[in-house]
Amino acid sequence: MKYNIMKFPLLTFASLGALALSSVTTNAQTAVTGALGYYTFDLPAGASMWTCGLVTKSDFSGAMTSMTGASPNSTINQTGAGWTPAGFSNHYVEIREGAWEGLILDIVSNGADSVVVAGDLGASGFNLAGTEKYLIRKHATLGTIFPSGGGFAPDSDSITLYTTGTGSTYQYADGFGWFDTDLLVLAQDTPVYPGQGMVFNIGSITTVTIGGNEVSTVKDTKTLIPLYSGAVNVVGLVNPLVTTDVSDPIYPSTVPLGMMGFTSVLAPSSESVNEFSSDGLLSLVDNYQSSDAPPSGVMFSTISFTDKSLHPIQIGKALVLTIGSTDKYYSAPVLLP
Amino acid sequence: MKKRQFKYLFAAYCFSMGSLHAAVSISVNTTAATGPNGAARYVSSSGANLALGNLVRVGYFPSFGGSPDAGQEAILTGSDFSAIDSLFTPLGSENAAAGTGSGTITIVNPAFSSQTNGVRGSLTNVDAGGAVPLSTQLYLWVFNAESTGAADEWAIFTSSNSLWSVTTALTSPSLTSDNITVSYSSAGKLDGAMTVDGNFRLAPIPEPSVPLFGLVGAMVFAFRRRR
Repeated sequence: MKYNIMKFPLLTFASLGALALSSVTTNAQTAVTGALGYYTFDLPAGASMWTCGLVTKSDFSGAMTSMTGASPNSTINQTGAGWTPAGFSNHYVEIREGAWEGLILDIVSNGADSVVVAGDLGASGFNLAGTEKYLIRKHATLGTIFPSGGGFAPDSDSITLYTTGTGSTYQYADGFGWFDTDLLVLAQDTPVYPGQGMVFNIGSITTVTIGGNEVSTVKDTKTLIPLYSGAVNVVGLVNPLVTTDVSDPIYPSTVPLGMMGFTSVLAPSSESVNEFSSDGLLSLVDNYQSSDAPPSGVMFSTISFTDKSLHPIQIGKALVLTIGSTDKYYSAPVLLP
Repeated sequence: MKKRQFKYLFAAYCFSMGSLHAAVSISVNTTAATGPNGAARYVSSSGANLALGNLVRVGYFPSFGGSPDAGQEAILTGSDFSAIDSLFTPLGSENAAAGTGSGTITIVNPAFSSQTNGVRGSLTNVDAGGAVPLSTQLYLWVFNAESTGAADEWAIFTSSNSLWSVTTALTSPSLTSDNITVSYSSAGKLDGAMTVDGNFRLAPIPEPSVPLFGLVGAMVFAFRRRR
């Protein structure tokens, strides 16, 4: 089975990382042109879980002039920005520093020098200082991650996105684009948030292409991924698949479970991570929890009761997190080589 | 165009017939002081640690409706094992492959825990969303012996925390003692489930013959007075 073939026609992976780093310098209030990158990999027949390892380019990068926090929406003021009013449709703000670094906030509307985001950034909410650095990006969507279907069989193969317990399922229709199979409405602009996992359901072995147009930028910053109580939290790292060679020391194809940052978010010996197989069967590989003691901070298997901190998780693979009654955020680390 | 719309409708209908679900696991833990219950363990009515190999059953009971569920509470706080057991759907127990899940619950497994007398283990192959319906509230039935017949104490625990229920088809419940909010035993229903020493105590099972004889005696006495 073939996985992890990464193709960047214009630049190598390393140079892409360098380009992305250069795009987030302080107060660089201009749009950044991303490199065209995409990757392909073979999916087995059946169900498997994956994340999109790429994001869109940054349309703005800078530090807030000021901020007005309120519920349900807050306003970020950017003196002299000169944006096109209502030009940030289906965009989001990404906080770049402070306690909420990596937080993703949907943009509700924008004026020439201000942007309204969903969420209370004030003292009763995220309690931002109002001077944080941030980025504005366009959402990666089903239509931009998988242009022309991305290799999914039209009217047959599907993608399920979860924000609740049941999720929403989408299929691609030739000549129409992605549509919601329950609502029977077009869903081309349905956002796929950074780190949000997708469940692919494939009829036969398929080569899937992720990115290549708008969604072609390597994300070089950590990401806060919301986790909801009682929901299927399918999440993963925002890293592109890079190599088929598991022994490649520079561009590894896996990441140790212990390096994924779960120990700092999951309640020890209580909340857990489910790893399902990627062979199409979606069978449970293992269930992992953070140890309470001793040794603390270890990711262990609740089935074999052995230390699984070094267990390799394939880059690009999504996992399912089960949390308790309180919503929280998982801080997905950056694992660029 | 109409043909095409019908095609999409049909495709959506077909897809909705096969909703996605997978076999998940249920873990059972006795945690250290990380939650509201602190470092609580399961102990006998006298406060003694449970012995290695004591029986722990994982499963669920039907709801009789109402909040609180008076009908369910009346049975779970009773002492008639058969009555409780007949309502209980086991997913697993200390005995592997009992119920619809499989696995082992081990008493006194110190692995990755500061709780040296804790209950730790897991069940696998739990068909969440299939054989086990979603929104199923899970219960931990703890005994002070290796079998139900040999036990003379038990208690049934559950929690309002979502980790103690089968919420979705892809997530794994975790029955962690830290989150227990309710216990049932012959001592009654305890909201909060804590006892004075901070552990989860089992309760003695009253001899069924005692109340039964009392009831019969009272009936005979009442009958004779009427005559």
